[in-house]
Amino acid sequence: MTAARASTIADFLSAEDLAALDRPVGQALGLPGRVFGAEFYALEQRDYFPRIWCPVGFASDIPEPGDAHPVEIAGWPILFVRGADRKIRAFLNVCRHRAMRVVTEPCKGRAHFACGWHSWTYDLEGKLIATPKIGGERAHRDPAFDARDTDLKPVHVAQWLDMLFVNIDGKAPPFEEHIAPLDRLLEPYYDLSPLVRAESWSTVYEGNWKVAVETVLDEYHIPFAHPQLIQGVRQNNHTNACVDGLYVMTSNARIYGDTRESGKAMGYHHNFPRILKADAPEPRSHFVTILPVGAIQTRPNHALMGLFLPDGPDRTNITFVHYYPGDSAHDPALAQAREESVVSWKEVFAQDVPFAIYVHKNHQIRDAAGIGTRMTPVWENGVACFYRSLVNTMRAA
Amino acid sequence: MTAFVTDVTLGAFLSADELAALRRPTGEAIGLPGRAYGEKFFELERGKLFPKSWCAVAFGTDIPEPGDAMPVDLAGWPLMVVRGQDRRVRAFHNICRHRAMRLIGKKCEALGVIACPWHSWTYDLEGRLIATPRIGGETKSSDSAFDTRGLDLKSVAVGEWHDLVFVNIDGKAPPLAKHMKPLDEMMANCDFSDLRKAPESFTLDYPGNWKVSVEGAIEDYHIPWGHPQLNKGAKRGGFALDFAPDCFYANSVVREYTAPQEADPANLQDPRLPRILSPDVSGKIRTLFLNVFPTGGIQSRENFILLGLMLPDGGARTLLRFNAYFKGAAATDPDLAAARQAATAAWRLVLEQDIDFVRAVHDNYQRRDSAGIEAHMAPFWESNVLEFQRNVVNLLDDRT
Repeated sequence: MTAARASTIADFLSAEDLAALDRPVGQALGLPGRVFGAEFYALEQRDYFPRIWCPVGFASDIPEPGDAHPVEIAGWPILFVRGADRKIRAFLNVCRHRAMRVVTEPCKGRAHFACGWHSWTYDLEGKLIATPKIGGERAHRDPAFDARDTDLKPVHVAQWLDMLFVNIDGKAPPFEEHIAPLDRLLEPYYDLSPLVRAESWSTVYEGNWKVAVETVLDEYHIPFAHPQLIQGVRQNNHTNACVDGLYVMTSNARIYGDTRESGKAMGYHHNFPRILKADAPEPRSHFVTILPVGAIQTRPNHALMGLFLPDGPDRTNITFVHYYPGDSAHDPALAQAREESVVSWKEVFAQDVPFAIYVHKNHQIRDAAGIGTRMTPVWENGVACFYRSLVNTMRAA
Repeated sequence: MTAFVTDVTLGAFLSADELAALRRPTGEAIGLPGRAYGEKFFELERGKLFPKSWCAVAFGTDIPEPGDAMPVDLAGWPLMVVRGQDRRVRAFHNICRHRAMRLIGKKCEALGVIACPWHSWTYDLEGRLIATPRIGGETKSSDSAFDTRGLDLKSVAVGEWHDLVFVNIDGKAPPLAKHMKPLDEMMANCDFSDLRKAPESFTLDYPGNWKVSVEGAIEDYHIPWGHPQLNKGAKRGGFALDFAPDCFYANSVVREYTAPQEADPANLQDPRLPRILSPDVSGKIRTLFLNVFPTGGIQSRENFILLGLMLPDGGARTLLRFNAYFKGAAATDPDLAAARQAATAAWRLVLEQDIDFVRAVHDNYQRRDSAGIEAHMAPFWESNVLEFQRNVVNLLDDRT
């Protein structure tokens, strides 16, 4: 039997499609609708997600030794574990016996993990330490079964603030090199080190992960889709920038007519300590999409970090975690202010739901209608950057 | 580039033997295999059948006034119909030319413009891109680095036949009036003048493929068992099948009553409702039900007509909308409301009675190929079902 030839990105994007994406943004075409379907998703699973430093989790999900947290990124099951040495490790969450998922629910304070099926047991460093009954009712070893090379498959892991990244194929450049431009972007403005995890929330977009990410890449739609965000804004100085393969940033310096009312929902609560540095160039807020599926949103006195995790070709699981400096993250006196912030951000993401759903649906048919997508140079460089990064990584596969 | 799903051809579903079996005389023919009623085959139809045909998708009375607009979904093609200031109906792909957002999500009235909810690209009622607020920055609605020419809404060929609005996505079909000529001729006994939409209309949700839904509606063979009330008080009169390839598939019936007082309200309407059907040469009234290929339906009665849509929603569901039309003031006269309601409710019941057949047949079609079970058609009653299936195949066959 011969397998069908594995598909490549060239099966989906012609030289003309690629050239159209690379034109100056005002003349460029976005990727065709077929890259938002199931076939291209299968290719992304193979040629994209394993090859990059991909944000997939939060260190604060496993605060103590023995804590473990399973996640899934585009079908890749990843298990995060904090070891007795407090180090975070990541493994493929696949038992080396007959491929059962070893850990299916987050768990705490474990010394080892036993697979639910046949009880193969791994320690916190992924080493297979026990195979109960493998050799018979009372024999936990079998000379006829070679148990070498049966530890959990480790995955390269890195942490940036609270965000956990994995590089599944282990061939990406060193993480420190990769992430350095993001540090350089935020360092002049913020001291992020005192941030402590507070509230978190999740939602689901019924659309391809790229469409979900697209909804946060531009500020162009704010007045039309989220008018409350600029309520009371008298003047705004908007900037955006991107670094291929790493981030898309939009940033605003807003001057409010009445700061008491207008900035409230967006967390300009004056009773939170500031993370904005005293010597910052100016008070700004930043929304940085950490390519391809992470985000950090910084405000003068708090931050949010989020993930847009693909769950099949037409569904995206979104989680955001709110962070405040030091004790303010858990101060009961500030609980209402924090809750207001959660409510206001959930509202913003709810407002984007129709875009995720209907843009996704239109992508499934628009190639046949001969309709391409366009990007505006002032606002949507980041959209072009996002797609160019994806294509460049996959073409190099 | 290699193939995409949309490049699948008819040959992937039907063998040459199966095509030949479909083309035999009715009594020897074998109907489409069950796999022609699944999601994959529907993808093929979405790509090759619906774009080629004139398809009924809406009623003109859905958008009666200038600025009225309605989104319609034709087999997964997101479209919209819009009535312009010139009162003309136009159709467009419901896809913003910026980043492909859906422009309108529900029926709208008296729009001056169509603005995309995402980034506010704004089109006039003729589809021209007339405004791009903030495109060049906080306060600039143009950008010299972005050429907005060529970014009008992508239009779709549109035509009206009585109150039905048709679209032809590939724009290559002959003019609608020419396409509908055989139906005009066949319905010559129906006086369409001054027909007005009555308030009585109804919708139904069929749990089956659109072809199962149509096939069940265009044959009268099942009347005695599926809709026994239609034969109450009647001795069956003349029954006839008629079709014009790619245009309509009809069956008509003349019923004579031994006991007219017992007849069902579906058949016997209030004599105060003006007649719209004229008798044939033998002095008899011939009523009909037909499919306007692929998504239209017509039921003509002695004194009213139902115009309908049977729109696929995926490969396993069909959404029906039927409007009733009566002559002149009778369409809206409050004194005749009970008579109109009795008539339309009786036909709604008939279409409801078919729901169980549609569901069960659709479910069986997903499996019967594996069981080696084929579909057969009775020559006296069901040659139209076969002709309908042949037309589906002809439109999908790249060689024809």
